[in-house]
Amino acid sequence: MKIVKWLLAVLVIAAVTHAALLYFGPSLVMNRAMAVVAAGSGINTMSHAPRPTADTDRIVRSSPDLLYSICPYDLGDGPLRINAEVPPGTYWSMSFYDMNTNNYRVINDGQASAGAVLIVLMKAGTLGPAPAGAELVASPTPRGIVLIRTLVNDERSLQAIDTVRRRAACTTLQMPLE
Amino acid sequence: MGLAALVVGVALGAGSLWYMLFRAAPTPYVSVGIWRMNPLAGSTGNDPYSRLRIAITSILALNKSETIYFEALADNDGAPLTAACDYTLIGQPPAARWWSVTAYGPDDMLIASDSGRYSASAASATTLATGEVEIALTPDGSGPNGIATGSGRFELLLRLYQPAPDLAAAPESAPLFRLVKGACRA
Repeated sequence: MKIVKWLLAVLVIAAVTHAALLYFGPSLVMNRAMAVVAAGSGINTMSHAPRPTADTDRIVRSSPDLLYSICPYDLGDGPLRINAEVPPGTYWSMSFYDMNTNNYRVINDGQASAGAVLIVLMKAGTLGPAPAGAELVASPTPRGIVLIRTLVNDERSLQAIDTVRRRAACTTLQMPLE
Repeated sequence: MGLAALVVGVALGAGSLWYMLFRAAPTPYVSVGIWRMNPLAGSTGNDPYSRLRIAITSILALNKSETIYFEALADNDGAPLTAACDYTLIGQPPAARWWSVTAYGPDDMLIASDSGRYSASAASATTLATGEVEIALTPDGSGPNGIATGSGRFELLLRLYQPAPDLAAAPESAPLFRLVKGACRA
Protein backbone atom coordinates (compact mmCIF):
# COMPACT_ATOMS: atom_id res chain seq x y z
CA MET A 1 0.00 0.00 0.00
CA LYS A 2 2.84 2.34 0.89
CA ILE A 3 4.50 1.78 -2.46
CA VAL A 4 1.25 2.60 -4.30
CA LYS A 5 0.99 5.91 -2.44
CA TRP A 6 4.63 6.62 -3.20
CA LEU A 7 4.14 5.92 -6.88
CA LEU A 8 1.05 8.12 -6.96
CA ALA A 9 2.99 10.94 -5.31
CA VAL A 10 5.77 10.58 -7.90
CA LEU A 11 3.26 10.70 -10.75
CA VAL A 12 1.54 13.79 -9.38
CA ILE A 13 4.87 15.60 -8.84
CA ALA A 14 6.00 14.58 -12.34
CA ALA A 15 2.79 15.87 -13.92
CA VAL A 16 2.99 19.18 -12.03
CA THR A 17 6.68 19.61 -12.94
CA HIS A 18 5.99 18.82 -16.59
CA ALA A 19 3.05 21.25 -16.79
CA ALA A 20 4.83 24.03 -14.86
CA LEU A 21 7.96 23.90 -17.01
CA LEU A 22 5.84 23.74 -20.15
CA TYR A 23 3.72 26.71 -19.15
CA PHE A 24 6.38 28.91 -17.57
CA GLY A 25 9.35 27.74 -19.69
CA PRO A 26 9.16 30.48 -22.38
CA SER A 27 8.93 33.25 -19.79
CA LEU A 28 11.83 31.71 -17.82
CA VAL A 29 13.92 31.79 -21.00
CA MET A 30 12.83 35.38 -21.68
CA ASN A 31 13.50 36.43 -18.07
CA ARG A 32 17.01 35.11 -18.44
CA ALA A 33 17.51 37.08 -21.68
CA MET A 34 16.08 40.23 -20.07
CA ALA A 35 18.36 39.86 -17.06
CA VAL A 36 21.39 39.63 -19.37
CA VAL A 37 20.51 42.70 -21.43
CA ALA A 38 19.22 44.75 -18.47
CA ALA A 39 22.36 44.09 -16.40
CA GLY A 40 24.13 47.06 -17.98
CA SER A 41 21.47 49.72 -18.38
CA GLY A 42 18.28 48.62 -16.65
CA ILE A 43 14.64 48.36 -17.73
CA ASN A 44 12.87 50.86 -20.04
CA THR A 45 16.19 52.14 -21.31
CA MET A 46 17.66 51.63 -24.76
CA SER A 47 21.21 50.32 -24.64
CA HIS A 48 23.41 50.30 -27.71
CA ALA A 49 25.61 47.24 -27.63
CA PRO A 50 29.05 47.46 -29.19
CA ARG A 51 29.49 45.58 -32.44
CA PRO A 52 29.59 41.87 -31.54
CA THR A 53 33.03 40.28 -31.40
CA ALA A 54 34.29 37.20 -29.62
CA ASP A 55 35.15 39.51 -26.70
CA THR A 56 31.85 41.42 -26.46
CA ASP A 57 29.37 38.69 -27.47
CA ARG A 58 26.64 38.28 -24.80
CA ILE A 59 23.71 36.72 -26.65
CA VAL A 60 23.98 33.42 -28.51
CA ARG A 61 24.39 33.63 -32.26
CA SER A 62 24.83 37.39 -32.44
CA SER A 63 25.69 38.63 -35.91
CA PRO A 64 29.03 40.45 -36.22
CA ASP A 65 27.54 42.36 -39.17
CA LEU A 66 24.73 43.92 -37.15
CA LEU A 67 24.61 46.63 -34.51
CA TYR A 68 22.09 45.76 -31.79
CA SER A 69 20.18 48.30 -29.72
CA ILE A 70 17.90 46.78 -27.13
CA CYS A 71 15.23 47.98 -24.72
CA PRO A 72 13.93 45.47 -22.16
CA TYR A 73 10.57 46.91 -21.12
CA ASP A 74 8.06 46.79 -18.30
CA LEU A 75 4.80 48.61 -18.96
CA GLY A 76 3.79 48.44 -15.29
CA ASP A 77 4.52 52.16 -14.85
CA GLY A 78 2.77 53.20 -18.05
CA PRO A 79 3.26 53.15 -21.81
CA LEU A 80 6.67 53.38 -23.39
CA ARG A 81 7.77 55.95 -25.95
CA ILE A 82 10.23 54.52 -28.47
CA ASN A 83 11.84 56.75 -31.01
CA ALA A 84 14.51 55.88 -33.55
CA GLU A 85 16.15 57.21 -36.65
CA VAL A 86 16.71 54.90 -39.60
CA PRO A 87 20.20 55.06 -41.12
CA PRO A 88 19.85 55.55 -44.87
CA GLY A 89 20.92 52.92 -47.37
CA THR A 90 21.09 49.88 -45.16
CA TYR A 91 18.86 47.25 -43.57
CA TRP A 92 17.27 48.29 -40.28
CA SER A 93 14.47 46.75 -38.24
CA MET A 94 12.75 47.21 -34.91
CA SER A 95 11.28 43.96 -33.58
CA PHE A 96 9.03 43.42 -30.58
CA TYR A 97 9.06 40.27 -28.42
CA ASP A 98 6.63 39.38 -25.65
CA MET A 99 7.42 37.30 -22.55
CA ASN A 100 6.48 34.13 -24.42
CA THR A 101 9.35 34.99 -26.83
CA ASN A 102 6.85 35.65 -29.65
CA ASN A 103 8.02 38.17 -32.27
CA TYR A 104 4.68 39.97 -32.39
CA ARG A 105 5.68 42.94 -34.54
CA VAL A 106 8.48 44.03 -36.89
CA ILE A 107 8.98 47.44 -38.47
CA ASN A 108 11.76 47.61 -41.09
CA ASP A 109 13.48 50.43 -42.95
CA GLY A 110 11.19 49.99 -45.94
CA GLN A 111 8.15 50.63 -43.74
CA ALA A 112 9.77 53.56 -41.93
CA SER A 113 9.59 55.70 -45.04
CA ALA A 114 10.06 59.00 -43.20
CA GLY A 115 13.47 57.89 -41.97
CA ALA A 116 12.33 57.87 -38.36
CA VAL A 117 10.00 55.87 -36.15
CA LEU A 118 7.93 56.99 -33.17
CA ILE A 119 6.09 54.26 -31.29
CA VAL A 120 3.94 54.27 -28.19
CA LEU A 121 3.99 50.78 -26.73
CA MET A 122 1.04 49.91 -24.49
CA LYS A 123 -0.39 46.84 -22.83
CA ALA A 124 -2.91 45.05 -25.00
CA GLY A 125 -6.40 46.15 -24.08
CA THR A 126 -5.33 49.61 -22.90
CA LEU A 127 -4.94 51.27 -26.29
CA GLY A 128 -6.08 54.85 -26.46
CA PRO A 129 -5.68 57.54 -29.11
CA ALA A 130 -2.14 57.77 -30.46
CA PRO A 131 -0.24 60.99 -29.70
CA ALA A 132 0.40 63.08 -32.81
CA GLY A 133 2.87 61.42 -35.13
CA ALA A 134 3.13 58.22 -33.13
CA GLU A 135 2.04 54.70 -33.95
CA LEU A 136 0.46 52.62 -31.20
CA VAL A 137 1.72 49.08 -30.71
CA ALA A 138 0.03 46.67 -28.30
CA SER A 139 2.22 44.35 -26.26
CA PRO A 140 0.51 41.00 -25.52
CA THR A 141 2.36 40.83 -22.17
CA PRO A 142 3.30 43.71 -19.81
CA ARG A 143 7.00 42.94 -20.19
CA GLY A 144 9.17 42.11 -23.18
CA ILE A 145 12.04 43.25 -25.37
CA VAL A 146 12.37 45.72 -28.24
CA LEU A 147 15.37 44.89 -30.41
CA ILE A 148 16.75 47.13 -33.15
CA ARG A 149 19.05 45.59 -35.76
CA THR A 150 21.15 47.86 -37.96
CA LEU A 151 23.23 46.30 -40.70
CA VAL A 152 26.78 47.46 -41.31
CA ASN A 153 26.66 46.99 -45.07
CA ASP A 154 29.75 49.07 -45.71
CA GLU A 155 32.69 49.22 -43.29
CA ARG A 156 33.45 52.77 -44.44
CA SER A 157 30.00 53.85 -43.22
CA LEU A 158 30.29 52.18 -39.82
CA GLN A 159 30.78 55.41 -37.88
CA ALA A 160 27.91 57.21 -39.61
CA ILE A 161 25.54 54.22 -39.18
CA ASP A 162 26.54 53.83 -35.53
CA THR A 163 25.95 57.52 -34.81
CA VAL A 164 22.43 57.42 -36.24
CA ARG A 165 21.37 54.18 -34.56
CA ARG A 166 22.54 55.49 -31.16
CA ARG A 167 19.83 58.16 -31.35
CA ALA A 168 17.20 55.50 -30.62
CA ALA A 169 15.69 55.76 -27.13
CA CYS A 170 12.86 54.37 -25.03
CA THR A 171 11.31 56.21 -22.07
CA THR A 172 8.28 55.71 -19.85
CA LEU A 173 5.36 58.03 -20.64
CA GLN A 174 3.06 59.46 -18.00
CA MET A 175 -0.72 59.15 -18.37
CA PRO A 176 -2.55 60.88 -19.86
CA LEU A 177 -0.25 60.51 -22.82
CA GLU A 178 2.15 63.40 -23.23
CA MET B 1 10.76 8.59 1.33
CA GLY B 2 9.06 11.98 0.67
CA LEU B 3 12.26 13.55 -0.57
CA ALA B 4 12.91 10.60 -2.84
CA ALA B 5 9.41 10.95 -4.35
CA LEU B 6 10.06 14.64 -4.93
CA VAL B 7 13.41 14.05 -6.64
CA VAL B 8 12.12 11.20 -8.79
CA GLY B 9 8.93 13.09 -9.65
CA VAL B 10 10.76 16.27 -10.70
CA ALA B 11 13.25 14.25 -12.75
CA LEU B 12 10.43 12.33 -14.40
CA GLY B 13 8.50 15.51 -15.17
CA ALA B 14 11.51 17.31 -16.63
CA GLY B 15 12.65 14.23 -18.52
CA SER B 16 9.25 13.60 -20.05
CA LEU B 17 9.08 17.24 -21.16
CA TRP B 18 12.50 17.00 -22.78
CA TYR B 19 11.37 13.79 -24.53
CA MET B 20 8.20 15.47 -25.80
CA LEU B 21 10.14 18.51 -27.05
CA PHE B 22 13.08 16.90 -28.73
CA ARG B 23 12.24 13.24 -29.34
CA ALA B 24 8.52 12.59 -29.66
CA ALA B 25 7.95 15.62 -31.89
CA PRO B 26 11.34 16.97 -32.92
CA THR B 27 11.69 20.40 -34.54
CA PRO B 28 10.30 20.07 -38.10
CA TYR B 29 13.47 21.23 -39.85
CA VAL B 30 13.49 22.02 -43.58
CA SER B 31 16.73 20.62 -45.06
CA VAL B 32 18.70 21.82 -48.09
CA GLY B 33 22.03 19.99 -48.48
CA ILE B 34 24.06 20.59 -45.33
CA TRP B 35 21.69 23.37 -44.27
CA ARG B 36 18.59 23.08 -42.15
CA MET B 37 16.05 25.70 -41.23
CA ASN B 38 13.65 25.80 -38.33
CA PRO B 39 10.37 27.02 -39.86
CA LEU B 40 9.11 27.85 -36.37
CA ALA B 41 11.85 30.44 -35.73
CA GLY B 42 10.36 33.85 -35.03
CA SER B 43 6.83 32.51 -35.28
CA THR B 44 4.07 32.40 -32.72
CA GLY B 45 3.75 28.78 -31.64
CA ASN B 46 0.23 27.44 -31.79
CA ASP B 47 0.63 24.95 -28.96
CA PRO B 48 2.55 25.00 -25.67
CA TYR B 49 5.20 22.54 -26.86
CA SER B 50 5.88 24.62 -30.00
CA ARG B 51 6.11 27.78 -27.92
CA LEU B 52 8.67 26.28 -25.55
CA ARG B 53 10.63 24.75 -28.43
CA ILE B 54 10.83 28.17 -30.13
CA ALA B 55 11.94 29.83 -26.88
CA ILE B 56 14.74 27.33 -26.40
CA THR B 57 15.97 27.06 -29.98
CA SER B 58 15.49 30.50 -31.48
CA ILE B 59 14.97 33.26 -28.93
CA LEU B 60 14.89 36.80 -30.40
CA ALA B 61 14.80 35.46 -33.96
CA LEU B 62 12.96 37.42 -36.64
CA ASN B 63 9.96 35.96 -38.39
CA LYS B 64 10.31 34.14 -41.70
CA SER B 65 9.20 36.96 -43.98
CA GLU B 66 11.87 39.25 -42.51
CA THR B 67 14.77 36.83 -42.16
CA ILE B 68 15.37 33.15 -42.82
CA TYR B 69 18.06 31.39 -40.83
CA PHE B 70 19.75 28.21 -42.11
CA GLU B 71 22.21 26.41 -39.85
CA ALA B 72 24.80 23.74 -40.65
CA LEU B 73 26.29 21.52 -37.97
CA ALA B 74 27.67 18.69 -40.10
CA ASP B 75 29.30 18.03 -43.47
CA ASN B 76 27.77 16.18 -46.43
CA ASP B 77 28.44 12.81 -44.75
CA GLY B 78 26.93 13.85 -41.44
CA ALA B 79 30.25 14.29 -39.66
CA PRO B 80 30.36 17.30 -37.30
CA LEU B 81 32.06 20.38 -38.73
CA THR B 82 35.49 20.67 -37.18
CA ALA B 83 38.43 23.06 -37.42
CA ALA B 84 40.61 19.96 -37.87
CA CYS B 85 39.46 20.06 -41.50
CA ASP B 86 39.35 22.85 -44.09
CA TYR B 87 36.17 23.40 -46.08
CA THR B 88 34.93 25.64 -48.85
CA LEU B 89 31.42 26.92 -49.36
CA ILE B 90 30.61 27.66 -52.98
CA GLY B 91 27.51 28.74 -54.85
CA GLN B 92 25.48 31.59 -56.27
CA PRO B 93 24.65 34.34 -53.77
CA PRO B 94 21.28 33.54 -52.17
CA ALA B 95 18.22 35.43 -53.40
CA ALA B 96 17.79 37.93 -50.59
CA ARG B 97 18.32 41.63 -49.97
CA TRP B 98 21.35 40.72 -47.89
CA TRP B 99 23.02 37.49 -46.74
CA SER B 100 25.79 36.45 -44.39
CA VAL B 101 27.50 33.26 -43.23
CA THR B 102 28.84 33.26 -39.66
CA ALA B 103 30.76 30.60 -37.73
CA TYR B 104 30.00 29.89 -34.06
CA GLY B 105 31.58 27.59 -31.52
CA PRO B 106 29.66 24.75 -29.86
CA ASP B 107 28.47 27.32 -27.28
CA ASP B 108 26.85 29.35 -30.09
CA MET B 109 29.24 32.26 -29.44
CA LEU B 110 31.56 33.90 -31.99
CA ILE B 111 34.91 32.16 -32.40
CA ALA B 112 37.96 34.12 -31.21
CA SER B 113 40.75 34.51 -33.72
CA ASP B 114 43.58 36.94 -34.46
CA SER B 115 42.06 37.72 -37.85
CA GLY B 116 38.62 38.59 -36.45
CA ARG B 117 37.07 36.97 -39.52
CA TYR B 118 33.73 35.95 -38.06
CA SER B 119 31.62 36.06 -41.21
CA ALA B 120 31.38 36.54 -44.96
CA SER B 121 28.52 38.52 -46.38
CA ALA B 122 26.96 40.14 -49.40
CA ALA B 123 28.88 43.27 -48.46
CA SER B 124 32.29 41.72 -47.89
CA ALA B 125 32.51 38.71 -50.20
CA THR B 126 34.13 38.92 -53.61
CA THR B 127 32.46 37.10 -56.49
CA LEU B 128 34.06 34.77 -59.05
CA ALA B 129 33.75 35.37 -62.80
CA THR B 130 31.00 32.73 -62.80
CA GLY B 131 28.96 34.85 -60.41
CA GLU B 132 29.51 32.32 -57.66
CA VAL B 133 30.90 33.08 -54.23
CA GLU B 134 33.64 30.97 -52.64
CA ILE B 135 34.06 31.07 -48.87
CA ALA B 136 37.02 29.39 -47.17
CA LEU B 137 36.44 27.86 -43.73
CA THR B 138 39.85 27.55 -42.10
CA PRO B 139 41.13 27.74 -38.50
CA ASP B 140 42.62 31.24 -38.97
CA GLY B 141 40.21 32.52 -41.62
CA SER B 142 42.80 32.45 -44.40
CA GLY B 143 41.64 31.88 -47.97
CA PRO B 144 39.12 33.60 -50.22
CA ASN B 145 36.39 35.35 -48.20
CA GLY B 146 37.73 33.31 -45.28
CA ILE B 147 35.95 32.66 -42.00
CA ALA B 148 37.95 31.54 -38.94
CA THR B 149 36.78 28.23 -37.49
CA GLY B 150 39.08 28.18 -34.42
CA SER B 151 40.26 24.94 -32.90
CA GLY B 152 37.34 22.63 -32.26
CA ARG B 153 33.86 21.91 -33.49
CA PHE B 154 31.94 24.74 -35.08
CA GLU B 155 28.57 25.56 -36.60
CA LEU B 156 27.53 27.81 -39.46
CA LEU B 157 24.58 30.16 -39.64
CA LEU B 158 23.38 31.51 -42.99
CA ARG B 159 21.18 34.59 -42.63
CA LEU B 160 18.97 35.70 -45.49
CA TYR B 161 17.54 39.18 -44.81
CA GLN B 162 14.32 39.94 -46.65
CA PRO B 163 14.51 36.81 -48.79
CA ALA B 164 12.99 36.77 -52.27
CA PRO B 165 9.29 35.82 -52.07
CA ASP B 166 9.88 32.54 -53.96
CA LEU B 167 12.58 31.55 -51.49
CA ALA B 168 10.49 32.48 -48.47
CA ALA B 169 7.55 30.47 -49.84
CA ALA B 170 9.61 27.36 -50.58
CA PRO B 171 12.86 27.40 -48.57
CA GLU B 172 13.26 23.68 -49.21
CA SER B 173 14.00 24.51 -52.88
CA ALA B 174 16.45 27.33 -52.17
CA PRO B 175 19.78 27.05 -54.02
CA LEU B 176 22.24 27.48 -51.17
CA PHE B 177 26.01 27.28 -50.82
CA ARG B 178 27.43 23.76 -51.26
CA LEU B 179 30.13 22.45 -48.90
CA VAL B 180 33.35 21.01 -50.27
CA LYS B 181 35.55 19.28 -47.72
CA GLY B 182 39.31 19.84 -48.01
CA ALA B 183 42.31 18.50 -46.15
CA CYS B 184 42.06 17.30 -42.57
CA ARG B 185 44.82 17.39 -39.97
CA ALA B 186 45.51 14.65 -37.46
